[in-house]
Order: sequence, then C-alpha cells, then structure tokens
Amino acid sequence: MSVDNTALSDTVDRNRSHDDAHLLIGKALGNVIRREDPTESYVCCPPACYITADDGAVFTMGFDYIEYPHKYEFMVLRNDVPMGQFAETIEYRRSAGGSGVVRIFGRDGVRVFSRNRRAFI
Amino acid sequence: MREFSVSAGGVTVVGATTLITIGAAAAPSVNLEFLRYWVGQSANATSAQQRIELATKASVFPTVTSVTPAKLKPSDPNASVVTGATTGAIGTTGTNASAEGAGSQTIVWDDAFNVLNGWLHVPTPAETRVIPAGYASTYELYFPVTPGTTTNWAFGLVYREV
Repeated sequence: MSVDNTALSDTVDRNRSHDDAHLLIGKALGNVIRREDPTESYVCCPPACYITADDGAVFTMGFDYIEYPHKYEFMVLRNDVPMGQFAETIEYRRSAGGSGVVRIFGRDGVRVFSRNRRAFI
Repeated sequence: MREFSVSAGGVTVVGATTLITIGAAAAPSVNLEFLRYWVGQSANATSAQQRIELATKASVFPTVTSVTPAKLKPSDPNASVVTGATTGAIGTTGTNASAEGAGSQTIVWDDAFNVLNGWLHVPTPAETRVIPAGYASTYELYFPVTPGTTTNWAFGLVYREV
C-alpha cells in the first residue's frame, strides 16, 4: 500500500516524527523536511538553516526577533512550533554512537533541549 | 516597523537561477532593509555543497514567478510598497526565474553551504543591506551554479521597510 508522506507528516506525532524506520520527517518555515540522517555534530543554525534532531524534528529560527546592539535573537522553532525561547544560535552536538543534544545560545546563556522534548531548560 | 517575507517552497530550479528578485519602489518611498535569507532543500539524501550569492542587477531584469510579500504582522492594514510581478522590475518581487535578464549583475555576497543543512544568513545589524527607494537595480538571491539535485528547493528572505 502506498503512503502519502506529506499527508502523513501533517498528522504525525511530532514527538516521534518518523513515518518509518528510515525517514526522518520534520517541518521548517512551512516546508516538510525529509532526511535520512540527523544533522552532523557541531552544525549550527545560522549559518545552517535546518537542524534535524534524532527524532526527525527540525529546529530553525523563526521570524519573531529581538534586536540588540550588533546582533539579533530569533524565536526558536521546532517543527514550526515556537519554543518560547529567543536565541542567537542553535547547535546540534552528538556523541559518538550516542544521541544528540540541541543547545541554544543567547544573550542570557546556554539552554539545552530537554530529554522529554518539551522545552529548553 | 513593518517586516515582510518573500519565499517559495517545493521549487524545481532549471540551472544557475535567480531564486528571488526584489526591487525598492520609486522615490520618494521607504527603503528596504534585509534581515535574513534562507535556502534549503525539503527532501534530499545526498550531501553536496552548493554556492549561493547575493547580487544586484541592472535592467534588463529576469522573468520570474510573481509573489506578493507576506506580512509578518498579519493585522497590519498596510501592504508592502513592493508588489508581486513577473517582470522582476523595480518596485516588484518574484521567485525562480524562468529567464535570466541580460542586465549586468554585481555580486555583493558569495557563500556556499551543504544542501542537507541549508543556508541561513542573518547579517548582524551593522551588516544588513539596505536598498534605497529609487535604486535603479534590483536585489537578488542567486544560484551561480546548477545544484546537484534541482528539485524541492525552499528559499526566502525577510525585509523591513525603513
């Protein structure tokens, strides 16, 4: 039976963004993003546009922003859902053979995405 | 401040392509300050590097798909001074050129990125580019070389009227 991945991804549980064991599906800036692997370790957004986490969720910078002298901070999006945190940089870091951690860096320091995938702490 | 986005998704590019062209309106009017640019590919399994450029272009302009700038503040009663058009002319914007205009192009920013990660360029405030009202050239987001995979491109930019 064929599966419409686009339709499926609209209804998929975002806490577990796979539609099969091989494809990671997330959403960023209005587009469904499909990847075979998570982002490589130490990739930062910006300059990367997408950070694909272990579960397929895609982190990127939203359009809401705060302007500070000589820098901006943007709303962090996970699968196009605002996370309630402004940051200058999103970083993905993965230990060898282990799971990855999403960190955000901003004016008030570093925050880590929680293991339950609900919030930055 | 009024901010607007111009973007497109699921696009197939034909080669070295103008992804977005935008021109400030004739003076007297507001200037356009560009806050961010992004390019990514929504479905791809092959890691590859891709060049990207920001450029200005004098007449003759490219033929593009018309796009109306989207308000970032939906309740703002005013539309952008920039309108959608297929001509790529001054005061208009559009995406994914089907024919590159013969006008001379001047590169203002050259970069490259991995297609799996995409490209997000956020100039710090001192580095933002401003296209003044009445400027004779348009501003472009441009692929100088044909990408290895030409399908499923998503790209856009955000500007504010100042």
